[in-house]
Amino acid sequence: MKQRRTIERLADEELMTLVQEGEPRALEVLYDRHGGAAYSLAHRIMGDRQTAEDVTQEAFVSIWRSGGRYDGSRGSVRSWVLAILRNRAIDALRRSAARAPRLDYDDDGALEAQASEERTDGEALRRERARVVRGALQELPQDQSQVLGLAYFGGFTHREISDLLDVPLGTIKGRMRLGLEKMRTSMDEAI
Amino acid sequence: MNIADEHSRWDEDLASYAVGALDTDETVAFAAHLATCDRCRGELHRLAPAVELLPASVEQLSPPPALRGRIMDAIAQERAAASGVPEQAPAPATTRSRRGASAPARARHGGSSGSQRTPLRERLRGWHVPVLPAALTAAGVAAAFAIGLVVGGGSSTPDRTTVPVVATADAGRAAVSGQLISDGGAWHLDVRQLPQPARGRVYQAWVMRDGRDVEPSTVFVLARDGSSTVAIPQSLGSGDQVLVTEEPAGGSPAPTARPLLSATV
Repeated sequence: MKQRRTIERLADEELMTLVQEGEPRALEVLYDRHGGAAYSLAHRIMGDRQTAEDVTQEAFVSIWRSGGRYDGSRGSVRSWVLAILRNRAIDALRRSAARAPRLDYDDDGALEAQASEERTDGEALRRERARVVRGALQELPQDQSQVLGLAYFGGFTHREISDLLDVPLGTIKGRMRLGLEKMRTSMDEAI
Repeated sequence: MNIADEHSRWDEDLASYAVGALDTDETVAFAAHLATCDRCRGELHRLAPAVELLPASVEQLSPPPALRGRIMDAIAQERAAASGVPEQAPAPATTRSRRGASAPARARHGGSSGSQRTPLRERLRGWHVPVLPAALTAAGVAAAFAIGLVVGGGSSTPDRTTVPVVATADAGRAAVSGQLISDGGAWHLDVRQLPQPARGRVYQAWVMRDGRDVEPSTVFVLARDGSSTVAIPQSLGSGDQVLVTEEPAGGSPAPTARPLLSATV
């Protein structure tokens, strides 16, 4: 069994190989690297800490069981982890009786509500990047950011969003595409 | 409809697919199209970084320190269960084993176990949904109930779990009934009164996990009365879906039709 210090130096893709082989320390290191982002996404989708914890736990146990399904050709480990987390969260959201669209979530408010001692130096970069990205999202026209938010964070299908906003389905599809295109362009310009 | 119009139809749904906003049957159809369309795969690949910005945009919080320990306790419990050694770590209140089949049962039915995960990926090479289809499991439950009909009940006892089968709108008005059943850890699908497929065609079961993977499962035909008992060799966990489509004889490497039946574990 590899020592934890050795494992900590491995790339994510190498960690996934160890997870497939049943090495729990590899999953532990993966959690240390991506658990914060996963928990943050879960909190954004679920809206409270307890269910965010439950969903994060579910997602990492699922990753342990399904490590063999990771395929590096389809994207980074982080993207895969967050996709699994999102699926679990949306699943939980849809199971819950009270599911309402959250059109005006205040991410900065969530930060303020957090105890200051929970903020570590190691998370500063993640937070700064999130602020930059959020700024790019805020530059999107409101109707585009709204449909992307309802789909990605609310788990609504494009038909449900069409019904919810009383806007033709074709318009919803168009807004979603335009929003992604603009975000992609913003990234290119930032680089 | 010419080729350009046909492609335009898929292109309109590409962004919805990328952010996980398609219904279950739309996702299955889109995934099947992706397997054959370089242009859509390229577009999806180009937009993927934009999709990845969405989770990166949320305010970054610190998970409670105890969560790490709870996750590792759950993993220890999983390992103990898989090895047959009594578990040492107490199970967290929110954790339960979701491995569908016991190790012997998985071996018996050719399913994957913890130490046999890589061959599964090899076996399914080329079948994966390429990028972030997402929300399939979740959307599937709601979408199926919105457009379909529950045609069997669900229940659970320590050794037996039954999951209702839902007939989608594409199943028409057939009086289908059925259940997905785990008996002692081995899963099978019981269907009744399913219409006979067209000549030269068969039914095929698929397993969808985490909104990303579409795995081929059993190809089957019906008895004269429209019934069939179909072994599902895969191990199934919470949120996994078993879908049934009509396919050409011999089955298909990826779904070529919209699902007729759906059951969500």
